[in-house]
Amino acid sequence: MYGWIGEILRVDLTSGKVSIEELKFAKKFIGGRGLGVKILYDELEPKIDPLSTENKLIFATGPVTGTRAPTSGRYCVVSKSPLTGTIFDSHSGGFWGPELKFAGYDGIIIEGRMKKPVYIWIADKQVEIRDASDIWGLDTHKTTEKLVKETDPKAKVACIGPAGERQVLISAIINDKHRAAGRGGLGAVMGYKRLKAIVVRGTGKVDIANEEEFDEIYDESMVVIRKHPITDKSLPTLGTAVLVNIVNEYGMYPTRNFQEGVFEDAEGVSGEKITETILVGRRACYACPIGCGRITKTSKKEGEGPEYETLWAFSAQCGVNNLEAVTHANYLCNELGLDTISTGNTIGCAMEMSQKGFLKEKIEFGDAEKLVELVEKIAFKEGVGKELSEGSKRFAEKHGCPELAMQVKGLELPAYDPRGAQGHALAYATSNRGGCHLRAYLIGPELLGTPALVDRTKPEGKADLVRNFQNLFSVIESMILCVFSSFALSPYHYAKFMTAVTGLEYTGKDLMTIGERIWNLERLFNIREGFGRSDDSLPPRFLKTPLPEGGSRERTVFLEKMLEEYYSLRGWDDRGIPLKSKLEELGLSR
Amino acid sequence: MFFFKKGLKVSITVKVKLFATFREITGGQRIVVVKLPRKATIKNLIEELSKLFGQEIKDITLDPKTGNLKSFNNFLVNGHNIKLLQELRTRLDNGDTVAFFPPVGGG
Repeated sequence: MYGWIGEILRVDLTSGKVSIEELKFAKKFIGGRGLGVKILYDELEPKIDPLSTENKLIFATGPVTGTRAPTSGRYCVVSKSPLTGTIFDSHSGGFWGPELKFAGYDGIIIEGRMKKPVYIWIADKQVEIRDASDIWGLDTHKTTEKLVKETDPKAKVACIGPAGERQVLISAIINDKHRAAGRGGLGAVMGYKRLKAIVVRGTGKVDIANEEEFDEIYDESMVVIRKHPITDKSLPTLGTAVLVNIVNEYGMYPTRNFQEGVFEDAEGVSGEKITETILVGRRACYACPIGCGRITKTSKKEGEGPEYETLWAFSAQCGVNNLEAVTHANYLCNELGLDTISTGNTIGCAMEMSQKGFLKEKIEFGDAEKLVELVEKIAFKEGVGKELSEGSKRFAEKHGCPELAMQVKGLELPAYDPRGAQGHALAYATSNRGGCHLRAYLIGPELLGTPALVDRTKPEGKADLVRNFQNLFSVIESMILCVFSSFALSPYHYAKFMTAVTGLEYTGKDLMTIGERIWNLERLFNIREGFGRSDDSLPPRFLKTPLPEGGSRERTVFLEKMLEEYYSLRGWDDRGIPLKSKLEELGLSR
Repeated sequence: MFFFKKGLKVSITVKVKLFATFREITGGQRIVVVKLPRKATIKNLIEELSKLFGQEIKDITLDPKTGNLKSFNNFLVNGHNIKLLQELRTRLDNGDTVAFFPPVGGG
């Protein structure tokens, strides 16, 4: 095979058995997210407990992973999420994904549960399950350093920290020390399985079907990336945090648990401020010409971040204006293995609950010290951190105020108030993995004018835009490339890469159909789990309570209108279930 | 100068917020308060800013061929993108806040 290696590793931790299987479904589901979803749909029994031996954890790459294709340094982890109960894929950059390809695998399926902590050591075709008793309890940085020392200086490590070990429902999987497959609590699945880390060293390469064609589309893509002001200038020089001010000016920067849309102290915790104060360097993932990663240094230590989402989660969301504390909270999440979005969002939720008298414990907006303290308590499940470690939905429900949890399908919402952008609101509501901004990034057309500006206040035409973005991103995350590539590249470029790398003919239209197939299969998975139309919703605040001030003042979301149109465009019935004809069209009928 | 009529308010004041790379042009200045004639537009504002900070601000924001706003620059008047208003002809009112953003992206 070209592009794909053609082999999947299956590791059963209960028996300790390791086997190699032939890669299937590649043409129809590509790899990464699509491959993971297909395997889990076929192999998982419905309604299993995500934290049980029945759940599986898939680490997947795609056909372009490990090639020179720009932004192809990614991998994803797919599982049934213990946080949402939905199908879930969580993505990360860095260098781990390509290394797995170089070792000779398209992916790893992890099953069962070990009796004692272990890690998996993969050195090309040699695979060992090794004792991890002496690293269990270590943070992700120390774990990485120790495992590299123990195996190979060039090895790449994906691991969990104390949060994952304790099955914290908002825990992450961290690779290359600072990169996170953050969302959905998949670190908890790894922790349940007592799998501390997967360490990989590969010396092979990825075979490309047509080198000449590849060089052509590579050159063409690089010209486009170099010409686009976002991928050539904005992201490399200012990073993702440059968004703080523009989102704030639009009045969509969620403040104090989405009670407001303008953070009065945004400037002090903005991308510009980071550049002026704590930025010491920039970092790019494997094969990435953009390089949005920030190396930063506070008075206490050096680390990476905060990125836009993290910056928001620990500042505006919690009313904190102390950049040092926000950055420290970010470093802690990387070290302890927590999802920064869900952690900050959940703490902000607790702050509003405290403000409104739903909590005995005093957790005040703006309390930077408390913020940092709570991050640690969540990771170690100490004190109130134990309840917070289950995420905002469970926490708010337990205290009798479910409406104060800013989440969709149990996943904490990220850094854009949906009331200011109707399409983005629909993207949140219909996301197959819950409150996420990257299933369909309508912020591009609605706020930033990429590819072209549309009226963010109007619901008209948004259902179609959301559907197209969802299908396209399903493809990008299956190849796998970074979604930031899509600021510059189009389905045309993606199809050319797929054809050159795999030797199979793909057009842009073919890829969009595959994206639609993946989206529908995810939907079928969730329907099988009991999700339906009532879950394609938003917290009542966004539907009923207008924003009090700023550029999105007095706005709410017109969800029902858009949802009906969306279902119809998707070929789903009014309960949100794909019609038989749609499934036949996509080759998903049984 | 038709607007210098007796008894009428002769000028408006707008607050201009500059972000990201625009601050390189202003030498780090983040907020500029600009006085403009009544009925002034964004185009007039850019002209005024170029008097204060030099030609570069025009080079960055305006397409030399068409004279229109360059792609991906986003100018917001009180949180509303001028591309959905009257673009460069968007009229400014006294007390308006105008935010200048160069192309930005992230996620």
